[in-house]
Amino acid sequence: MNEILQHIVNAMVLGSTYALLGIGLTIIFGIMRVVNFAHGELYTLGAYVAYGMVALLKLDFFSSILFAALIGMLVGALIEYVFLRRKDLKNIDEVMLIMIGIMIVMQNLELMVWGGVAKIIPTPFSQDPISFGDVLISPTRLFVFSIAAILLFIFYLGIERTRFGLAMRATFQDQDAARIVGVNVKAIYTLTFALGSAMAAVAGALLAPVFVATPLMGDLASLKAFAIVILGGLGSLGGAAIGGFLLAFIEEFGASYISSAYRDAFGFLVIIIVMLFRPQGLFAAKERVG
Amino acid sequence: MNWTFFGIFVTFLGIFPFVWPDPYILSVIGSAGIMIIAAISLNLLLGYTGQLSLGHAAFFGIGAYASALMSLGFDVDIGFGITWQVDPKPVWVAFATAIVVTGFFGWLVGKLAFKVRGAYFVVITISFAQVMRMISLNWTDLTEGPMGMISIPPFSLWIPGEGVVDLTSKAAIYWLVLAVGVLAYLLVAMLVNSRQGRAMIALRENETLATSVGIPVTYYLALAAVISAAIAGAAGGLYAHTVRIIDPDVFLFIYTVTMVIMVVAGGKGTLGGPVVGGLIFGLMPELLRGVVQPEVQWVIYGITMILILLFLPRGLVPAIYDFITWIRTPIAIPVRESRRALAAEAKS
Amino acid sequence: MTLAKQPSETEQVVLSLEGVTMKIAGLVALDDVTFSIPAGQIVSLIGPNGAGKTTAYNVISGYMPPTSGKVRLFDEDITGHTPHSIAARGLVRSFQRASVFDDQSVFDNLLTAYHLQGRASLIQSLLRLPKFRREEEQLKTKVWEMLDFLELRRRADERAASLSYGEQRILGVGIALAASPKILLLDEPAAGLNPSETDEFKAMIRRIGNSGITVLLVEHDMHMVMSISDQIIVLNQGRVIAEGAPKDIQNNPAVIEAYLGSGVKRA
Repeated sequence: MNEILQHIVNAMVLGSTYALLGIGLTIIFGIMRVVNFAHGELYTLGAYVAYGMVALLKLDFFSSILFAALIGMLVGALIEYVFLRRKDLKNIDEVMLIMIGIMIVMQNLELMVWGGVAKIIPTPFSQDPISFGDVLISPTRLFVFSIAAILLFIFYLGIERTRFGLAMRATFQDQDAARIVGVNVKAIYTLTFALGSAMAAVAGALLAPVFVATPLMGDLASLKAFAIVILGGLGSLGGAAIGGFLLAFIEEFGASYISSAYRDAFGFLVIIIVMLFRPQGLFAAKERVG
Repeated sequence: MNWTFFGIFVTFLGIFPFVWPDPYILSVIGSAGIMIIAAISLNLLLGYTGQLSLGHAAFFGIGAYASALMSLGFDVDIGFGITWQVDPKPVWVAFATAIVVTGFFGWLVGKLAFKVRGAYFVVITISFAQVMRMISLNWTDLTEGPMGMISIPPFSLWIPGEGVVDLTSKAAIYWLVLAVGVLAYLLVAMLVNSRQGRAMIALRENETLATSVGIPVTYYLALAAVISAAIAGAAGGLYAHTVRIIDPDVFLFIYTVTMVIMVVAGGKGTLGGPVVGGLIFGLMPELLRGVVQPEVQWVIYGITMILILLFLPRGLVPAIYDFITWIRTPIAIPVRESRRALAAEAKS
Repeated sequence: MTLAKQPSETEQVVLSLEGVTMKIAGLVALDDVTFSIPAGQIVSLIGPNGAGKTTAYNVISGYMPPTSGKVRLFDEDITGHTPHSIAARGLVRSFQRASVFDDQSVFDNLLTAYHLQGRASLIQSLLRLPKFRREEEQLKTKVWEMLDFLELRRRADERAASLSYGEQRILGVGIALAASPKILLLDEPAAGLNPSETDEFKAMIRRIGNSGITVLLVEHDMHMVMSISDQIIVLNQGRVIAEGAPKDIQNNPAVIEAYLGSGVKRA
């Protein structure tokens, strides 16, 4: 029983950051219909920013997360402004390929700058795990979970209670109607991409001390983000959050009880299975045809 | 399709090893040729039928592994106390079987494509390749895992006067790749200029309209996927029996991306596109080797692809064609003369 | 109001809808719709915007399976069949928007549309066997004939998207005709056409009708509807509110009331 509790705790920690990653992609995919292959690279960028801040500049962990968010936002806005503005986003294929190009460039730039060896990010917390009964959790992971949960809550408030959030939700539902009622759709696009990228970067920065930072982690992160979006169903932010936790649980329990070698494969298997049996995801309402 | 140009080009390629017998050059072109065959296959699915399949390395890898396994023979335990044992088969038999097996996987993917479309399909195809990679990494009984498979037998051919010859020299491999390449090219060329090809293109252009005139969607998507996968499987088989060592890295996303860059930069939906794109991006690594690091090369490829997508979205071959047409168009008549011409018309 | 012309024993019913209901996202787009189209007639389906005409087309041609009810083509139940199998059975529908293959030449548009008239198998195509070659020649001849019928011969090599709006609509009808329909569904063919283009279109529809093809027409241009139709069916808010010959519909109070306030020209 304690073992199961331990797994649940681990999965919750992982799930909270996965939720951030997944929601970031959901808003980009949902509002702009952009298949953002570079999403994982923003995640990697966040991790390396955290590394740079903490290991090289000797800044504290907390502000490194803030920096990761800021840089993620900047890079996201830059990508949207330079590459996506001039393209009619209806050419889904071409936009996808552009994002792949950006992914290749970012990945290899990271390889050039940081090298291929994994980097370990030191954390300010002690390594001694805190124990709740027989369940152990390291302070780092507890911190990660708390920050992620707080950010998810702030995001929820932002989306539901602010004017920006309202504009984003309107554009999400029907961009032409949003335009007609005066929403500046171009600005919303930039904001969306910047915000989504910032969330990916923060997820990367948060998870960096839990795992390690390698330039190739972006590939997996992108795929997992897509798995989360698909699990939750396009268009469902709450679904994506739940999807993030769901994927974490599947990975955590699958790795322990089925096979740890295939841990990362679970995301892909999830995608394939969900697509086969319930292509609209677990939470989306059936879409109207025609 | 311009037969004269094609004939001249193929003849030139055929004679090339006599003109310049440097084994290094021949091996570079041979490798590029294998990638070109894979690009031709991807072009059929992506360019002509409009399905953005980003897991094409999966078909390449399945072809390679299937052919290698059939030619080496295998003996695995698939659970429940059942063993699956196959004796080593002659290479040509293995090669043919691999093509069929890969075609079958292509059919599976094609059927799936009907259920999920657009971006979801892309994600599934990528996942498919990754799952294949993980299987090849972890099912070590069958695939030797990360160590890969070695000592894969080469193709052999009976040549009059010489008996049975192993095709291991760089020149022999070059001609082998050229032969398969020409076949693949012709297969696609004949297909796209037929009723079946028109149906596939129609599905890409306007699926709703295509179905309204009786074109069945799943059938042609599946057909395109089968043929595309089979050709990619042939490329994989060629790779297995010429390089003769394969490992799970053949399934890496990076190889799919390479094929995609070749097709997109060259010109998707054109016959010459994958060839031009394949020559450029197949030979560039050799030219840049030693000059810049691989990471820098990839940054260059990525930027090239982005620039082409932004400014020449149809690819190089259509851009060159447009350019030639533009040069040959007579210069526009100056305004005064055209007004005079219209006035004269109005009077008559 | 006289009853709709009932199909006599000698007249065949080409298409019939029986109790078709379509609910979309809580809205009842079609409510127990029943009507039948006899062979060889030109029938117009009219109604104010939002009446359900396009939905009816989508249901009939297989793009949307109805929530309940049946669609019969020559007595065969085609409810919920795929669009391409319905086309193969003789019902072809044209579209209001995106009615041509934009980037293909006019010639290729039609050649593609003759898909159902080709029989060469894949192997015959790939190996360029004689049957394939002969068939390609026959199909190309048919394309030239169709181009003459549509009076688009001189535009054969041009990109379809570069045609004028009126010419694109005509090409769209040509594409539908190439699939050799026994019944043709036209979706607002006169929308956006100027008076002379509209007249040409009317003439073409008459020619099509005279060649034995049954025509179902969704249209807002009342002049065209009244002058060309053998029978008119009126939809309003998803229900059939009237059926009959043009002069009966013109004076039908329910029809007049449905249209009041929609700003549509009275015929």
